Amino acid sequence: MQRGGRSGRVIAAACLLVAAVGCGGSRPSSVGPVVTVFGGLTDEEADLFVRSLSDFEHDTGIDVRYVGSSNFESDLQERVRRGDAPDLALVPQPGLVQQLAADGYALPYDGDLAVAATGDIDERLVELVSLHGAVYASWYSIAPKSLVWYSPREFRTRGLEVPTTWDGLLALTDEIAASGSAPWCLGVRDGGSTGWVATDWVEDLVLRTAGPEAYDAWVAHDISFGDRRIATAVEMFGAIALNGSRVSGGNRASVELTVQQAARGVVGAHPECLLHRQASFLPDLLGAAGRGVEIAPDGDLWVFPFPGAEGADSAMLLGGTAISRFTDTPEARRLAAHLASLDAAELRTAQPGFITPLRSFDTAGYPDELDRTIAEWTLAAEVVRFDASDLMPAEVGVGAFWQGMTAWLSGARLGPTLAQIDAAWPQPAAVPYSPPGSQG
Amino acid sequence: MSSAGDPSRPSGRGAGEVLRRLVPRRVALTAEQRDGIEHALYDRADLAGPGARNFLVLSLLSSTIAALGLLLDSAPAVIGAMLLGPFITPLLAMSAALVQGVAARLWRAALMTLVGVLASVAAATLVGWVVGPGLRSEDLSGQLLALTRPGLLDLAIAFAAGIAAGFATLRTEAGGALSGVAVSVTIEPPLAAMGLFLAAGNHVALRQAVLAAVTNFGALVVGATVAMAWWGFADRAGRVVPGRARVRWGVAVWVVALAAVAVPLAAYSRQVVENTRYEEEVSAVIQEWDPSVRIVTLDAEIRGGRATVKVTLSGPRTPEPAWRLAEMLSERRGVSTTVEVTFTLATEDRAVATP
Repeated sequence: MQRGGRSGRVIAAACLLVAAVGCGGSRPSSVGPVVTVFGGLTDEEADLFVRSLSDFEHDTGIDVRYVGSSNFESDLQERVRRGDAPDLALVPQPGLVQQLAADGYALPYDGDLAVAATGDIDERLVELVSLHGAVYASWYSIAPKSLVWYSPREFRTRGLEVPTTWDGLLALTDEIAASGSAPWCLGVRDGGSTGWVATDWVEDLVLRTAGPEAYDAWVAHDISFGDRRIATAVEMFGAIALNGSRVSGGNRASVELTVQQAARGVVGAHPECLLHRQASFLPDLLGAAGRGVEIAPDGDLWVFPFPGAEGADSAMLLGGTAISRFTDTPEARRLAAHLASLDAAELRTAQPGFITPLRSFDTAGYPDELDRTIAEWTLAAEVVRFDASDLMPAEVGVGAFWQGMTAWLSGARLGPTLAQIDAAWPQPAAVPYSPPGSQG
Repeated sequence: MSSAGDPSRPSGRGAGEVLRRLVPRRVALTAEQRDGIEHALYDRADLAGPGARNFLVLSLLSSTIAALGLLLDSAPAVIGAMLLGPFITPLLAMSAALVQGVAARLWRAALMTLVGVLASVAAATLVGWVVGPGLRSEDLSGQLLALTRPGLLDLAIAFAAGIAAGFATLRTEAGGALSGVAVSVTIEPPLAAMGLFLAAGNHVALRQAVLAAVTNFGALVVGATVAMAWWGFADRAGRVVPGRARVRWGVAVWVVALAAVAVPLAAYSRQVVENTRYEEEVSAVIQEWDPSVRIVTLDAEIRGGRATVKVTLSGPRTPEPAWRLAEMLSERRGVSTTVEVTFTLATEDRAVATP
C-alpha cells in the first residue's frame, strides 16, 4: 500500500474524517482546455505535484486541475461508477488499475501513449498494470518500502550499530529496550486506510522468510493466508508489535497512534523511539515536526535497509503510483504523455521525496542524498516485489487484510483472523472475462 | 414648511450648544481634588503602602477564578473575575505619574503592576497544573479564546477602557468602579490564559496571550494618560518635578511602541475579518454541496492564495465526498483549498426495559 504524505486524518468511533484538497491554480475560471486529475496526494505532496506541472501548463495552455482525497480508492470507484470520472487518476494500487480496466472504466495506453508508458519502465512493473495484453497505466513514481528509519546522532551517542540481519535487528531491539528506551514506534491508524502499515510489515517479512516465489503465490492466492509461512511472518511481526517492551506506548499503542504520530516519534530532541519502519515518504509524514530535522547519514534522521536472514538475497518491497486514463481528449493524452516522460521526472525529482521508475534516469540526477541512496538500494536489490496488498483484489488488499491485521493488533486471535482474510477473497467469476466492445 | 420658527426643534446654534454641554470640559482641578486623587492612587499603588496586601490577594483570586472560568467555559465566572480585578489602581497611578512627570511614582506603580501580573500568572499556572494539564488552544471556547488573541479591535477596546478609567477617576460621579471592570475585561482573561498555557507547555498559545496582555496594558495606560492629561490632571502649579523630562521621553517611546504593535495587529484584525467572511461563504457552499448536513463547527482560513477548511458535520446519512467540497471551494475562489471533514452520523437510539 503506497501512501505519500497523507496527514491530518483522524478517525474516531462513530466519526468519519476525510481530507481533500482542490488545486485550481490561481485562476477563478479557465481560459483554455482543462484536464482534471484525481489522486490520493494531499498537503505538501499535492503542492509539489501541481507545482511540477506549471511549466507544462504554461507551454501548452492546458489548465491542470488536481483534486486529492484521503479516501481516494473508494472515491475514485464511486466517481467512475456514476459517470463522473476524472480525465486522469494517480492510482497507487495496480490491483485497482486492473479492476478499473476489467470493468471497462479505464482506457488503455494506445499508440504513442503505449510507447511512453512502456519504453522506459521495467517490464515487471508494466505487467502489473496490464490486462489482456493492453497497458492501462503509466508509472509515475515508486516508493521503496523496506526501510528502517533511525537517528544516527542518537545511535552514535549510545554506541549502537546498524544491523544487517533480522537477528541483529532483534538484538538491537533488545539492547535498546534494556537501556530503558522504547525501540520501535508503530502506528497503524490512517482514517479509511487504517492497517496498511501492519500489512507492509507482514509483506516485508513474507518476502524475506518465505522467499519471492512463495510471495508471488500468496499474492495470486495460490497459497492462503492460513499457510504456515504467512502465519510465521505475522508472528515475527507480532514479536515486535505485541511486545510491550519493544514498542513505544506498549503493545496496544499501535492501534491508538496514527501513522503520522508514529513517524514523528523517531525525531526530535527526545525521540520516543529509536527505530521506525516506514517507506521512503516518511519525511512527508513528519509535518511541522520535520522542520529543522537534518536528514543525513550522520544527522538527526537516516535510514537503513530492512534486514533479512543471514546470507539471504537483498530484497526491496515497492509501492508506487500509476496514472490511469478515463477520457481520451487530446489534452488528457498530452498530459498523460508528459507525466510518463523523462522531462516530468526531472522536474519532479528536483524536489526531495520523489523516486522515478524510469530506467534511463541516472541516480546521480537526484539532488537529494536520501532519494539518491534509496534509489540506488532499490536498483541494487536482488529481489524486488510490489506491495502485496496493492496487488490483491480490493476486497482483500485494501479491505480484509488491512482490517484483519488491525484487529489482530487489537487482540484478535491470529488463526481466525487469517481465516477471515482468506474468506474475503473473491470467488472466481462464473463467466470468462470479455474485453469491453468485444460483445455483440 | 420652514422649521425656523418651530420651538420644539433645536436650531443649529441650539444643537451646538447641546453638544458643548455633552462633551466634558477640561477643568482645572482644585488642589484638594488633586490631592485626593493623588492620595487615592499613589498611596495604594505602592507595594510598601496599605493597599498592597489587598492588591495581591485580589490578583491571586481574580486570576484563579478567571482560569477556572476559562477551563469551565463559564462566562459568569470570568465576569466575576473581572469584577475582582485590581489592576486599575496601579495602571491609573502609572498614567497619573506620566501626566505629572513623577518618575519615582511611575516606577513604584509599574513595580506593583509587575508583581500583580506575576501573582496572577502564578495562580493561573497552579490552576492549570492541578485542573487542566495538557490544555490545548482548541479546548477553550471560541469566545473566551478570542480574548487571549490580540487584534486591533482588542487594542481599541483597551484604549477606550483606559480613557474611561482616566475620565472616571477625575470625575468620580462618572462611576469609577465600572471603569475598573472595563479595565479588567482586557487584562484578566489574557493573564489567566498565560498561566494555563504555561502550565500546559503550549508555547504558541502562551505567546499569543502574552502579546495580548502586553498590548492591552500598553493601550490602557496610554488611554488613561491621554484622558487624564485632557481632563486636567496635569500639575499646573508650576512645580519643578525631578525626572519629568525622562518621563516625557518614556511616554513618547511608549506611544511609538504601541503604534508599532498596532501595525501587525491591524493586519491580524483584517485577516480575522477576511476569515469570518470566508467562513460565511464556506457555510453557503456546504449547504449547496450537501443540504442534508448540519454544521457543528467550522474553522476556515484563507491566506496567501491558499485556503484551509476544517469542518465538523452531523447528518442523517454519509455526506457527499469531501473532494467535491474542496473542488467547489477551489473553483469559487481560484485558490488551492484543503478541506478536512469530520462527520458524525446523527442517530437516535431509545430504549426502555421493565422488569
